[in-house]
Amino acid sequence: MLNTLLGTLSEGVAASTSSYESIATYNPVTGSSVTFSSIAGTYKSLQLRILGFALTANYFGLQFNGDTGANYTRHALIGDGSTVTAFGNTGRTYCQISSGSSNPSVTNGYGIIVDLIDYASSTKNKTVRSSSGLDANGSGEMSLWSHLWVNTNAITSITVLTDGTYSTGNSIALYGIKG
Amino acid sequence: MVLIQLVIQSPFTESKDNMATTYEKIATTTLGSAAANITFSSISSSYTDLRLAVTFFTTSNGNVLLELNNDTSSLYSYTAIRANGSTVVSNRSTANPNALMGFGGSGAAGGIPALSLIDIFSYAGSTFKTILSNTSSDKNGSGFTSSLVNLYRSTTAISTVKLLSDAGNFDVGTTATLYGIKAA
Repeated sequence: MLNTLLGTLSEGVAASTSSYESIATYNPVTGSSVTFSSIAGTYKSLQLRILGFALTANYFGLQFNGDTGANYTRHALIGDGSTVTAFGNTGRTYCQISSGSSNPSVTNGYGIIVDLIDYASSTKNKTVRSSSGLDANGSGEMSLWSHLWVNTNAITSITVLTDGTYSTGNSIALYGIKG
Repeated sequence: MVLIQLVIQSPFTESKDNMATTYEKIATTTLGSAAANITFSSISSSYTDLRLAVTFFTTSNGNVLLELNNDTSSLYSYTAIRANGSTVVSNRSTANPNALMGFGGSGAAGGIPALSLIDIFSYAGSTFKTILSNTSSDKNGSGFTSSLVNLYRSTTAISTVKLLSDAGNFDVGTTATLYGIKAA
């Protein structure tokens, strides 16, 4: 096996050698949220890679630094296998990273990749992008998301939440990408 | 001396390591002659996710298909969204013998390549396998961009990944790289 280490963002932007590091991983089997806390500001970007399973859930979402206020916005492009929908909203209380049209389940996992660029900046609002998909063999959706957290504070904690209950099979992994 | 270790299992299992580097190239193939497929076999189960980066030429404007563990039974399904420069549509397909990675196809060798980036989540786990892909197929005046989610309804760990084309062969210059991504 070659040990050449490549840091590559989800859309294929090459980074320097040894620049993609695993920070922490959760594998929740119950509850409705997990929090990555005390995130160092030493990276340029963060990436979340999620395979999500949940009971009675409509979506997965993110909150930063414990902020539950209406400080998040979103734009989405969603295909459900027949119809394409696009929308945008302000005043949200979390970043929605999967569609509510296809529920996460205990057998078919939601694949989600989230990129947080310049998360440690103390002068910029935070832009987040994500792509997510769930196919359930006859139903499902594929979606692309853009989010804004209207806050210039450095992100030091990320809560990954669901409106349902996590079930077996989850992998919620946070990576740091050096600039 | 007898040591007794008490382990309290939290419903959340969190692990942290020493920030080890975790994005590793497993193998790369570049075709020197046209071929029907590119296969990565004996893939270690030591990673959390797999990622494939495929820059491809095909002899008949083909797209990339994925066949896992040499399984051609009807266990694959997908949901897709794609745009061709003027129209965006979504569709799905079930009971497929392999997983479709994108739309638009590519040119032949020396022409216009296309790019598929493919993420296979928890490939070594015991759940059904979810695969996200994004394919860029711009042909200087025409083309597609597409994103797909595929489901492979097998709980068997994936140890072999075969890339195929849905039309013709992969042409000279096609490059496929397989990466493993470890979680802490």
